[in-house]
Amino acid sequence: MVSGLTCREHLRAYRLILIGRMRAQTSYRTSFALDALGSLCFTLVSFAEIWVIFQNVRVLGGLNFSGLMVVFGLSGMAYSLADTLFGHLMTLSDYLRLGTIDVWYLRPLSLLGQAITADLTLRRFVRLAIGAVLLGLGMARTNVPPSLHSFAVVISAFLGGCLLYSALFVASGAVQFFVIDGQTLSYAITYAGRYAADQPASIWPAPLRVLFTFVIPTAFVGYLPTVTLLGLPGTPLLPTWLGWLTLPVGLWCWVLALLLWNRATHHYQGGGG
Amino acid sequence: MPLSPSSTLRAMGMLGRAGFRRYSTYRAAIVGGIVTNLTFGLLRMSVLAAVVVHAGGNVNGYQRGQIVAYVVWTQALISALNLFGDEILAPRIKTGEIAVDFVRPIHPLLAYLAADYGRAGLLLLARGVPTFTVGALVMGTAWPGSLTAAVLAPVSIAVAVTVSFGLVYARDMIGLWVVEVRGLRMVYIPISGFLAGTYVPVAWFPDWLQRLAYATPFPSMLQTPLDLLCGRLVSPGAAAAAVGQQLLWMAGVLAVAAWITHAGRRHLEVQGG
Repeated sequence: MVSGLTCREHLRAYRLILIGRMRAQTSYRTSFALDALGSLCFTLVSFAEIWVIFQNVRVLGGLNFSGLMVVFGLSGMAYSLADTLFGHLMTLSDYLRLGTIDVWYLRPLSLLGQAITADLTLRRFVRLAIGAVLLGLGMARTNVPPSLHSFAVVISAFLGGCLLYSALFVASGAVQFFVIDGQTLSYAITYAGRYAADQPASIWPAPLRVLFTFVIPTAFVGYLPTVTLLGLPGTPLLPTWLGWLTLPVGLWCWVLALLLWNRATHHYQGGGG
Repeated sequence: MPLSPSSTLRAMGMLGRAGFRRYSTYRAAIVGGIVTNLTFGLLRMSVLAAVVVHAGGNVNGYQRGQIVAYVVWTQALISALNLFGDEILAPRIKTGEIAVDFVRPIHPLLAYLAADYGRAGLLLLARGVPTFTVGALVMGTAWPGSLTAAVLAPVSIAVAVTVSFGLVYARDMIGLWVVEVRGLRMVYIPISGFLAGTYVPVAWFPDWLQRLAYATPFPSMLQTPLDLLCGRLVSPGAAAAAVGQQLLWMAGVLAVAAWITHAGRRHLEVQGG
């Protein structure tokens, strides 16, 4: 791809695109408020599921309710930020089917950059806020000391988690270049990973534990850093120190996702219109 | 001119068959759906079975085998019972095509109900049966505990389809007043699904929340047929009472849906078009 733009012009172009998307979202106030309310309901109900479970059991997979709040908070925060920026890559097949994507190939901006800025869903920030509140509450109730150690674990988990989830979205987008109507497949993989991230990985039978640690490694987003943060003993296959590795794991996922994305975008032959 | 009862029934039969055929054309989506239902079935089963084991083998009448059956039956019924609240009328209201439905000789509530029975029938056969078969073979299942329960279970499923349909129909019809129902839908989906017992059995809720759930029509959308299918409602008296209560909710929901249709029709006339 020939690009005649300087770095500054690139940044300016993306800034203008993003400002436009934000304006579009906030100009319909009522609709935006209702969307935010809907987002709030979704998050609260998925937390209610965990709350109901802990009405019936005190400890699950080595974690009590407060411990699970930390898992849910970490995973929720990372997911909502990644979803705000990259979530719409799940619907890339719509752009592919309509042929809109052909235009992206012609513009002097990177394909991935355009795909990321094609949509921006601000309402998902509601989940970021709820995640932060639950994380704070959970840490207070489990008496995590406000030390540099805890701070480092949380930051590494949040940043690594964002990287990991967004890599998952990019990979999901890439798959849709190869599989016509690959959306269901992408949904199954991404949402299964997301669902698994909110659970204590110690309860999975061994094959699932391997899957969510090494293949779709979402255990690194919530459960593993929580074990490190609370100083709990590890479980078979999952030692306590794994919780420090979220950031490198997130970066590794990005490397794989980018390789897949490049193959996918070169594979594309046009919408056939 | 309204149709005679026999012509109405014939028209409904044809609309039902059309609904059945319409959904039978999306083969890839059906296969994708089965894979998704089974993947999530496996994950949910692992979590909920772990809860039962951690709680000492019995949570409010659910032993390990019963919670597995609860998950397998839920995953098999999820699409037919439209537990994720997919739109029925909303797109037609947005485009104004709903006006055409109002001038047809058959009441829109009956026309859409017939089409929805067709949809549910196809999804039950093409998606429910394979999901259940594979799920039951891999994870295990339970069956109705008496002849009465076995006879009433299909009735209960049909009533559940009707209740779910009526609620979504009424929800979408509100679009005649507010035009954009996306926010309403995003509030409806998590709350209805949760109170219906889609994520955790209603019997696991704390007492006050159980009472609240049974004061809504939502458990009639899923929990009642599940109780019959999993062998939790065994005695003829209890089974019949549960289905009777479900029928009352169905009548109430359909009455509200008919009333909203009536009011919406007049509202649309006021707007002019």
